Amino acid sequence: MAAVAGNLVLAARSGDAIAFAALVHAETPSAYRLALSIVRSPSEAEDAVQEAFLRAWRDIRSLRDPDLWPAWFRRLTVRSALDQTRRRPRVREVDLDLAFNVPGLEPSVHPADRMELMAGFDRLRPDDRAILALRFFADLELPDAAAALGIPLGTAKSRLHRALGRLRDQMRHEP
Amino acid sequence: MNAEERLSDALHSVVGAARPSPDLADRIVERVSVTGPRRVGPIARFGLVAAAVLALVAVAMLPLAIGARLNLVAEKSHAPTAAPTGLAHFDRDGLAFDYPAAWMATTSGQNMHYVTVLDYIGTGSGLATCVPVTPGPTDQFISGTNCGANVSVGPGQVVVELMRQDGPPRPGAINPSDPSGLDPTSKYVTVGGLPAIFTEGRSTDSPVTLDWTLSVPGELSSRYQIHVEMKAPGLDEMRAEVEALVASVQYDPLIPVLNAADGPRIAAVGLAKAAANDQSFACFPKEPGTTVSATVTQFPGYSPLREQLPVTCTTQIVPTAIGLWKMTLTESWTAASDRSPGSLTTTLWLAPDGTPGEEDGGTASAIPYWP
Repeated sequence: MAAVAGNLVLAARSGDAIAFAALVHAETPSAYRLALSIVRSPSEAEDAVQEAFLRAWRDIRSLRDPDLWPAWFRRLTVRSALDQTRRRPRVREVDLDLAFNVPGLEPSVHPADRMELMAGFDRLRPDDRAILALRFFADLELPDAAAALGIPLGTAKSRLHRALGRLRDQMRHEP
Repeated sequence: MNAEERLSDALHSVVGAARPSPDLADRIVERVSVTGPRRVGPIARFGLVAAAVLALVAVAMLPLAIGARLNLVAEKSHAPTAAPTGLAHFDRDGLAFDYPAAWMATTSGQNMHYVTVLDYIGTGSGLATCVPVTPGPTDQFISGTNCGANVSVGPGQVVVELMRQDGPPRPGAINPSDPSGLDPTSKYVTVGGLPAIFTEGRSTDSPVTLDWTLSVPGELSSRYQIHVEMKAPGLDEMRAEVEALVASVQYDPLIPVLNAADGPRIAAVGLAKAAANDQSFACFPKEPGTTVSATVTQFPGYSPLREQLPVTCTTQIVPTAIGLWKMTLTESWTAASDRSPGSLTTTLWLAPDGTPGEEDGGTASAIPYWP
């Protein structure tokens, strides 16, 4: 699978729009979820993914090593998502009920607790949500999360620490 | 379960279950397809069929590529325009030449996935077709189009197939000083005043084939292809007619003539326009051949660096045969405790008036502080 993706990246890098289209179709769902974890609005997440792919198409010739595509594109997605949050404050449209009622998903946490946790997460600053989402949703190690955010590892460590602290504060002050 | 585990659980449950709109990927593909929808065509001469499986899968993802513009059989014969000398004149899609008036011409205009078959001319026949492909129960695609370009030559006949390829792949300018751009059966020639590649194929039981790959003035991603098939008897006479055709090639409009003395002025115009859109071009001196020192936070075509980088920037500009200015922009940096010395060269192609066009990144060095 990785070899196929590498071939697609190589072809796309040489300007093959068909190969890039295949990458778009393959990457859109995961990119959307990562963007959604940061912007917390489905329409803004879709805008962010679209922007990330446009940037990728523009800059893919600068990607020398196709194996770096996942990290490179993840970074574009995070950057586009954060740009979305800076661009315009919008009403959030996440349908939590819909997300919780997924057949086959066995909750290990009571849905009410999960709802409360996500409400606190939603109130965090976008930068905090980004580092938490990369670490605890994308399940990245901190060096990779730092790379996705374009910040030094030390900054990522302190940002993660502070974000978790602010999330705990949000939970404590939840009415 | 600690706080981090609870957060992970909540994120995976809530965000992990989310799905984008079903048409999001298609909308993105539509936006990035700046050159418009194309179709898939098995034209082996361009090597496009090498990725047939990939293309088929990709076509499945590109139902928008199959649209109302699909022309199932684009063939229309027309009488050639007779010239006083007994020659007919061809002038289409920027390519012009003379050919024997006795030959038949068949207009195609069939667009096949970055390749457009312009015409067939000669004493034999040619046909370009595209037909929709209906997937079977085990096929992994939704819909597709199968295109083919077929040439039919009998004994003593010749057919010239004229095509235009508009990237991808993006071949760049034909560069006669680069021997790596040729395979062993090819050689660089000049056609219509521009660099071209000539390839001759011979075998005992199949048509003799001659291929000329021509530059397209002002275009880096496009090529004309003159593909010839002919069968004995009369090979020498037919070959002479084909070579006369190629010798008469002109480009319409004519290739812009660039004066090297205008280079400094064009460089200044091009860099000003480029920097207006992208500040990463701001460090390059507008006077070619000079060097300036600067601190940059981003290279052209790259995402921002994590730290500022001191560099020296240089600019070079030369006119090229295809009517574009080639501006070579180099940023060099010295070693430091956390980086090795290196340089990054970016090529920016400019229109005759200095308007920036295509950009090529290229470097032999690792980029410090990136990504």
